Amino acid sequence: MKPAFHRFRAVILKELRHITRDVRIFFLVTLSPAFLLLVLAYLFAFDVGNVNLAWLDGDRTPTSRALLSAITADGTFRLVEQATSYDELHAALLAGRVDVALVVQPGFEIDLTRGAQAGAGRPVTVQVLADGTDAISMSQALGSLSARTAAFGARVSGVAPLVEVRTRAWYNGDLKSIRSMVPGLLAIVLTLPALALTLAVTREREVGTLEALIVTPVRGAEYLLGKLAAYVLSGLVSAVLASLLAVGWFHVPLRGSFLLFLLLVAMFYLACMGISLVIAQLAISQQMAMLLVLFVFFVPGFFVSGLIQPVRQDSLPALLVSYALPPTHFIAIARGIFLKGVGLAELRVHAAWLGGLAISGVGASLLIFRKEIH
Amino acid sequence: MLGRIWTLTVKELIQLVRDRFMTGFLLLFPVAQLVLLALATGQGVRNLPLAVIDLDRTAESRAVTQALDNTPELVWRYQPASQAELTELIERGQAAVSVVIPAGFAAALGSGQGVPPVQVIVDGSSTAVGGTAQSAVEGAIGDYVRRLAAQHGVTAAAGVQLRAAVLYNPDLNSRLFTIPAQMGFIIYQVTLAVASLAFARERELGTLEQLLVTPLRRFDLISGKALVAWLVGGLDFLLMYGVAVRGFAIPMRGSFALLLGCSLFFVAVEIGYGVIISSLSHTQQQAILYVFLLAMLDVALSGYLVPVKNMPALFRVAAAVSPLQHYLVIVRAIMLKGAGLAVIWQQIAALAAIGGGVGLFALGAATRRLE
Repeated sequence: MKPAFHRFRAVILKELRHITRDVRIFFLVTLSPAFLLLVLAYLFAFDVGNVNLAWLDGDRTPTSRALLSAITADGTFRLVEQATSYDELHAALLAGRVDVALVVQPGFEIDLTRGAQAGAGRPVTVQVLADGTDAISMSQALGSLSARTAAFGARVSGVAPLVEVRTRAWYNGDLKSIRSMVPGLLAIVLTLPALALTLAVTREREVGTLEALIVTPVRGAEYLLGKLAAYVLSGLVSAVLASLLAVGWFHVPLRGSFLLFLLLVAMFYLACMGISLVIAQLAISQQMAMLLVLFVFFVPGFFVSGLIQPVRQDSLPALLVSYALPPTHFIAIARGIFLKGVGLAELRVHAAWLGGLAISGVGASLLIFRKEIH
Repeated sequence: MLGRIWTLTVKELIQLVRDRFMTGFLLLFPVAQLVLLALATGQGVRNLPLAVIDLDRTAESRAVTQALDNTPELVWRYQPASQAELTELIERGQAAVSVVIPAGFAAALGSGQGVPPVQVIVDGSSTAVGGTAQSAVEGAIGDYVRRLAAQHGVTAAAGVQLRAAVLYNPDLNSRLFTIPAQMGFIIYQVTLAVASLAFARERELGTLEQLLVTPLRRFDLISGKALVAWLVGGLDFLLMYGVAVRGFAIPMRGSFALLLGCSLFFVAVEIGYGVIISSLSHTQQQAILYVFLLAMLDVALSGYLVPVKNMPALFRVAAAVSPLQHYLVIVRAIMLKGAGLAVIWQQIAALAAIGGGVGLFALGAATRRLE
């Protein structure tokens, strides 16, 4: 056996012992991703998109009441307030008690039946006041509200709509958010092993055991790569656990190849940990390392990675910011393999980005490290 | 006592300012992150790539394609030649939505007879994409048909039409939601990061013993440390507020004094959490671990990802004791809705109750651990 490989293996074994010896680090690297996935996914498990509704009925007829029950029938829109004036509606919206307010004008029933008899007629308007502070949820709520009222109008007037639009959502027929969120959240929770690596390296430096290692025959590259390998290996354990939870507990379909998934998880770890190593070497203290990790992985992971809102395509700088973050690619990969059942051919762009990020991150950290030792 | 606390605060400030790198980092990084996130998230779900297969090839079918392209949510990118090509576009994630206009579409429209259905396929692997694309396509086609019907006098369903007035954010610009929330998240991180390591760091570096042999009482020690974290959090708030209002035109419809007061109060409550973490952990590494777990849970419970009212009951209870959740409601209500004390007193009361509990626990935990 070549001595270089021998030393490399020694570092891996040393690191694996470190990880298994300390209960907290062991938890962080192997169990915490599955634990966090359990908690986070539960938030999305019951996504009957509750929209609180206020109702101001100026018509007070069977037809207007039928409209209300047509809208609230399936529980997505929930009637929480019957108002008698606009002032009451505005107060409820201001306080956030309701998200949308529906106003039916007097004469609603008469206009609607007259219009249906005449055959053509203008559509009868129903007014909606909506709280726009949560823009994304509201645009979907408005779309759904408008579809419901249109269906009601067609039913009441007995005229079929002129053009029928048949929509199918592939991969996730009823657009259940838990199915799209769980594979996405994997990218967030699997950054925890990368955090552990950052802390391990920074600590080694702050506590002063790095010098002890430098005087051993272990070379810089062997030390870093050994550490990296140990954390990638133990991180893979956590990826398997988290995937088991996703499939077994949350019933997320796994339509693609799990082996390919694990391979790309390893690639994702290398990309994240490359960045971790660079952070660990640039940060002067553990405090700064923590802030950097929070800034680089945690918040952008949630917000610019396509987890909630799709990655912005219309601005090159925005696209570059998103693409420079490993979670962006991993979310697309996880959704692709779990939900779409696609293979490497369809995912090649994201896989290539992860590979590029991994090579540049690990490469940069090796360069910085060598300079530091000399 | 006040004198001693002040002395310690000054010492901590000198220490912080002397570490130029860290000072700059604590003040500039939050602003940089806010700008980056604002640029990267944009104004909402816009320009989802659309693929259209037009089997009709008439003026009407082209007008439908044009109508779809004209919506802010969609942009017409692909004209696949076959169903197989279309499938590939969606599988690769290049197209988020595809529309197939059937042959005979225009002819049937003119005759008033039943029109073969327009097939729409959305990528459901991301719910936000799928949901937005679906309502954009259905809305655009519905509008087009109504216009056409009006022009030609074709019988259309009389039907019911919605006229929506969106309050506080008429363009449904998602920045108005994300930026105030980001301000909350960033203040939260920085405050916790500074406060949680306050004692863990001194303990690890061995300087805690030196502090304990000075005439400083334990209460003074804790207050002095807390004051510095409070100043950092407050300064960060002011800087980010300026960027949000000046740089990204987030409206400020309420009282600035009220918002500042609430923010300083929120920072104080978070420092309480930080002090608890700091006194419970032996090493910085441990403290950082706790901060991360707490932060992930708090972001999840903040009402940003899922509105609190949609959460399972257990999580709603947990969200009720999360200061971040209440603070985000306050920021949004003051800045976007122009709400005053009468509207947000419940959130303030909740913050006060949480703050009281956390403060007492923090003092207790910290004084015991500093023995």
